[in-house]
Amino acid sequence: MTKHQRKDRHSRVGPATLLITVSVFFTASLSLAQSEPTVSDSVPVDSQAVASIAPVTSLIVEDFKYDDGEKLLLSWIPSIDDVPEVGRITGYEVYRITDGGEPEKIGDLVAGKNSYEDDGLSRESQYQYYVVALSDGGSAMSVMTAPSSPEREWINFGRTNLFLVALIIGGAIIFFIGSARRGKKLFVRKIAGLEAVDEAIGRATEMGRPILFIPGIRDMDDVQTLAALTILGRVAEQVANYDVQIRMPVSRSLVMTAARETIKAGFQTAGRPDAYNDDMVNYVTDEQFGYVAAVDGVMVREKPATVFLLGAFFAESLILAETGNSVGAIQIAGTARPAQLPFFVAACDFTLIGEELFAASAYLSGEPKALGSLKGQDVGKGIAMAAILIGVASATLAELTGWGAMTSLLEIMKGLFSSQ
Amino acid sequence: MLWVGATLGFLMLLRLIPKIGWISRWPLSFIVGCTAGLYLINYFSSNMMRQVQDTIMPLFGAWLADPTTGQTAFSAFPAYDVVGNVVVAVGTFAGLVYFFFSKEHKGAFGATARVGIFFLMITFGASFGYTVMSRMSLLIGRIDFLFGDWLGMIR
Repeated sequence: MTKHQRKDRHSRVGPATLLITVSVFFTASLSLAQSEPTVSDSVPVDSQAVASIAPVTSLIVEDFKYDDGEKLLLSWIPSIDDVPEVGRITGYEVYRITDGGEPEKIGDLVAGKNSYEDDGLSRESQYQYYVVALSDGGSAMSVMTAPSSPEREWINFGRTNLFLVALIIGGAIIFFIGSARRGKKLFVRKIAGLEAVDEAIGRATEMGRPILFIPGIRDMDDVQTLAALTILGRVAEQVANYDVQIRMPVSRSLVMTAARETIKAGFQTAGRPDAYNDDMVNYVTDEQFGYVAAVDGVMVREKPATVFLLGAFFAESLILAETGNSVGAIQIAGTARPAQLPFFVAACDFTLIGEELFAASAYLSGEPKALGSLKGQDVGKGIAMAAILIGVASATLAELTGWGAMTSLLEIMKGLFSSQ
Repeated sequence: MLWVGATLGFLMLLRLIPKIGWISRWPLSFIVGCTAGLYLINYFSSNMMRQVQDTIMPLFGAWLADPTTGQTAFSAFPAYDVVGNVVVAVGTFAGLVYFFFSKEHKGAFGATARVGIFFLMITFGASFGYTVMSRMSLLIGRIDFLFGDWLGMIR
């Protein structure tokens, strides 16, 4: 111990602090002796000295809730000398002993901290911890925790609310699919873009020009491409009825195969399988702008009367929509990509916005599964609308009037929709 | 766990035997179900729960603690905060009404849906303008480089 430290201890430490320090050190020594006799040899040299500061107390180690059994949470009451105005504590060091081995420093914390998360642990090992409070004059070690291991939880009960909402919406979807299968007519409101499909095909017939159908640039694993092909089925049926030409350049080989099958099915449904030929759908390239150049070329040369731009689009959306607009085609577009919607809205005659594209496939196909899903999702939207209405009203009234009932209602609403 | 993957992979290969090819649907349904389950949580959490939670807020003011005295008192929000809160609450609600497909857009419901589409169109307009401006900025940057740094025509 240095002369400076000795002076510091005699001049500042009162009898109560001294008593606490001695008792904590006594407890710490006892605990060390009981838990692991070899540890005392490996404790940092500073902590062996009589410290001029108090150690942290009530060091607790807990399992981190709802994880894969890889984390422990340490918490403690900071040293009584950890006062910002005094500034005696300069920081804390966290030590870990794995399976009774050597102590290992795992964390350097600033003064005022009272917790630490130890991550990347194994469920098979036992861990003990102690915290060393540091000051310019020395250090003080806490008692050591009992051996503990992280545990894995199979169910995250912190997400019970999420489970309940998912259960309600999932239940509603199953219920509505069942209803549709039993023959109950499920109402879906009119969607302007879809009402225009027949009109657009009729226009192509009158003008004697082809219809161009672009299903986006993504593959069959994208739900937007699937939705586009469902609409294509309906378009193909009408094309066969009106005896109009359809052109469909695609940028994915799988989409080409699926589109050919869809159009063939549409022609068969219309009773005109002989009118179908594979050349209606052709593969161009996977390259984004190579594909765009090819499609723009088709638009400029063949001047289609109607252009469908349905599916997943990226930077090419405005290039395609502008070219279609410049050749005077009636354009029906639809995508679920929010960044591309503004371009379609600006350059096309009708736009299926986001979920309308998916609703369209249910609307047109009338399939029980698609209709049931759509109705089930509407239940989810209904829940969200009710929650927003009740939540905003209760939050505003709770703040304006201070009614306890409103505050309680607000807490319930916030708890119900909290996401962890 | 490796055995699970190996078994599912083997079942997929049964597609090559026409008589028992239907078994290959089991691993497919397992994969689709698991993927849907994993995505469901993320989508629910971010697209629904979080959005609803963030929309639930007082519109006009809140009881706040005075930092000097520690006493709480009602503090009215500034006008721009009130407008912002109303826009968020009304816009989200009306947008949801627009995308509700189970009811005809008539009467009060239709009027709210109309408000929703106005919000959407204003958002699209802002997004369009922002994109055009960013492209213009890129163009100006290139022109500046070509005629300034490269050709030295702009000082």
